[in-house]
Amino acid sequence: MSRTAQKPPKDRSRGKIVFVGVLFALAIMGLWARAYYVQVIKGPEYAKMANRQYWVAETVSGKRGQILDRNGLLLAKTITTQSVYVRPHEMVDRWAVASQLGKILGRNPQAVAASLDPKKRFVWVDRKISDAQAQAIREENMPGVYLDAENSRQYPQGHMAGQLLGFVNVDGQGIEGLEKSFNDYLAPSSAKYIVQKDAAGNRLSSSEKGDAESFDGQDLRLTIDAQVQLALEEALARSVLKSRSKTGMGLVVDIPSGDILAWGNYPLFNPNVVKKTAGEWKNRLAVDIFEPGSTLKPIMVAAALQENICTPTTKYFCENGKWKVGGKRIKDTHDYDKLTVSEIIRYSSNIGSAKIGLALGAPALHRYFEQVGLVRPVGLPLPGESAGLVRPPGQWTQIDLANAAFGQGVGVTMLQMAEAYLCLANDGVRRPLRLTCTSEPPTGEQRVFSTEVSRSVMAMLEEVVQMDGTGTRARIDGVRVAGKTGTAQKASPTGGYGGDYIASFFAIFPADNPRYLVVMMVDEPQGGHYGGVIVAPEVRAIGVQLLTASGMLSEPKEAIVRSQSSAPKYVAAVQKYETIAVSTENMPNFSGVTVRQAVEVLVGQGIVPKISGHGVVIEKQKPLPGEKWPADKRCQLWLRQDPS
Amino acid sequence: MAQTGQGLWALVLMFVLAIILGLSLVWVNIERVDSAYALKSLERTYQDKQDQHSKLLIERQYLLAPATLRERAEKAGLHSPRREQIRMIE
Repeated sequence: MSRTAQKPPKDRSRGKIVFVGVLFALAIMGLWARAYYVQVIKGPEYAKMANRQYWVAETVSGKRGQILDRNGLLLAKTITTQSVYVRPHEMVDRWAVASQLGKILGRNPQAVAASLDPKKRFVWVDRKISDAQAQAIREENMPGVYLDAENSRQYPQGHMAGQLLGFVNVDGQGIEGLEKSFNDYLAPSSAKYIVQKDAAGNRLSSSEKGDAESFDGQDLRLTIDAQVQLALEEALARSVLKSRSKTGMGLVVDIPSGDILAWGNYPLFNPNVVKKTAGEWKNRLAVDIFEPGSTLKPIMVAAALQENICTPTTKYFCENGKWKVGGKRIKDTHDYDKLTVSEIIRYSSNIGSAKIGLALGAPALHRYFEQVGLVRPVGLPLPGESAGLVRPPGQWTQIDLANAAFGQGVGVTMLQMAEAYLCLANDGVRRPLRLTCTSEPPTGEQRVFSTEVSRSVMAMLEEVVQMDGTGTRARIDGVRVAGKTGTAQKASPTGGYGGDYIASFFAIFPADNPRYLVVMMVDEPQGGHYGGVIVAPEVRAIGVQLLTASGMLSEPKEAIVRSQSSAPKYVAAVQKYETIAVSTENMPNFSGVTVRQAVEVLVGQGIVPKISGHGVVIEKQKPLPGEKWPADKRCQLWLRQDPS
Repeated sequence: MAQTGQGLWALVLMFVLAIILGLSLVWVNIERVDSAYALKSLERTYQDKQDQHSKLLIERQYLLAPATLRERAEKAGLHSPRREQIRMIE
């Protein structure tokens, strides 16, 4: 029997370990190689791609600045509103979306559906919708329908000073009025920041962005006073509607500062609804040129007095109402014989004015027109302000000079005329009008007339109102008012003058201590065209409000007399209580006591009584006198008209 | 041998430190993103409140507008005082 010796199995474990080790080493090297490739060779490229995915540029911008009146009342402000847009290719059911949107936005669903063309990638459905509509759309959660925040300019005072404020376009850029001229001042700034976003595209907050409010535009404070503005606009509306005029405009100026307190154009314009208006945003006060008519006579007379051509008492023969100059006839409304210079202003004689003007001469008259600011724009920050239309004196014929002396044949803006009158009211010193509020005193003043001359002219203007002049309807009891009427014929498109007029009235309140200048004009009034009849009463109404508000209007004598004479009608023979005996526990007896006394006592106990009936005297009460003070603080008083 | 042991311990310690630092970095990043989300949410809320405040301010100004007040006052039978009805208190 042979035994075969078995060889022990060969130990391959070492080889295996080496093999595995090599495999691992290769794998690790592969990974390192890959890592090297990704990190080093392709690293910058991939980093760029990652940055594109995780970092995004975001523009941060503020809001347009506010516009305020002189007392801080808000005239214009930008707010955020929502706009709705659709990505038609993301919609599931076009008709369902159109139907829902139409219902929420109050639009015809078929029209909405027609606008949602599936071939388009983006469609605006409606801009600047209400918060309620935006919320309804959000709740519907329709695929493909999105909301986007947009800025919207709001004018909370509605039509107040609409033409002056102007408006902005859909991108928030001012395109009319002060919104346009102060666009750079009001416009917000913006900056771009890099912010991180997540996989869903949500942008994360970044500390670098800073405060969005720091990008807001600057606020603009105007010299306008909303209360005065309202008074002017209401008076203007009454005047235009009563006289059936085409348009009207007015201005109120604070004489000591030159601040414009009110700026009115009629028809009114509401900048909140620009699309629904048709050209009413035209700022006629600054843009429209008109022939001032008789309102120019005081300027001409001041120039003549300054040049010593005449004195207030110099008499001129007024040709009994008809006079021919250079073959053209000049007429007065009445057949005046001889009038002093004061009377020429008081009765508004064209012939007398023409004679003074001819004596003064074209170069001198033009020079004064220039000095009071009638041949160049006033210089307020407004778009398209007119420079007036006054030809060089070398081109004036004799009839041109005569016409210019009573305000025909020259074109001016209302602003220019207001500044000229401001010069007269300011002791002959030309003071620039101001539209933006500043605490600094007026600058750029220039003397045009001497104090004596301007006061002489002011005295003449006072006679127009206070004596038997053309402006008597502007009188206010207890206050001296200076004013001048204007009734200018309008040039006809076919040449010469037609049958249309411009009626105006300029007033200074009070004449002895000029504080307010009020100017108003209506264009093409029907059924009467005299400024002293159509416009003066409304200017007076504004004057009354201004003087009342500023405490400059004393109680009229006749009113005191009237109230005294009618006193028994209103005075009740009330029970004379020095003081009402008030107990801490029981109700006092209010019978026969005035309402004021009773209410004072009750309010002192924390009770606001319910009052029934008419009159000023308490007739009966509940709880009754002597009862406990009501725990529920309820009390009723009955009044009686006359004392029993 | 002792030096080899110390070196090994140093290596292990560095490895552990690296892991801790790495994890800390991840934790800080997660916290940063969480804070950014929270901050963004607060910013949005603040902006919404600001917008609402602006709208309420507009509404208030509209209600206090002289024209609106006058219209409502006239409906209530009120009117501007006449001269003789005004008493100036000095």
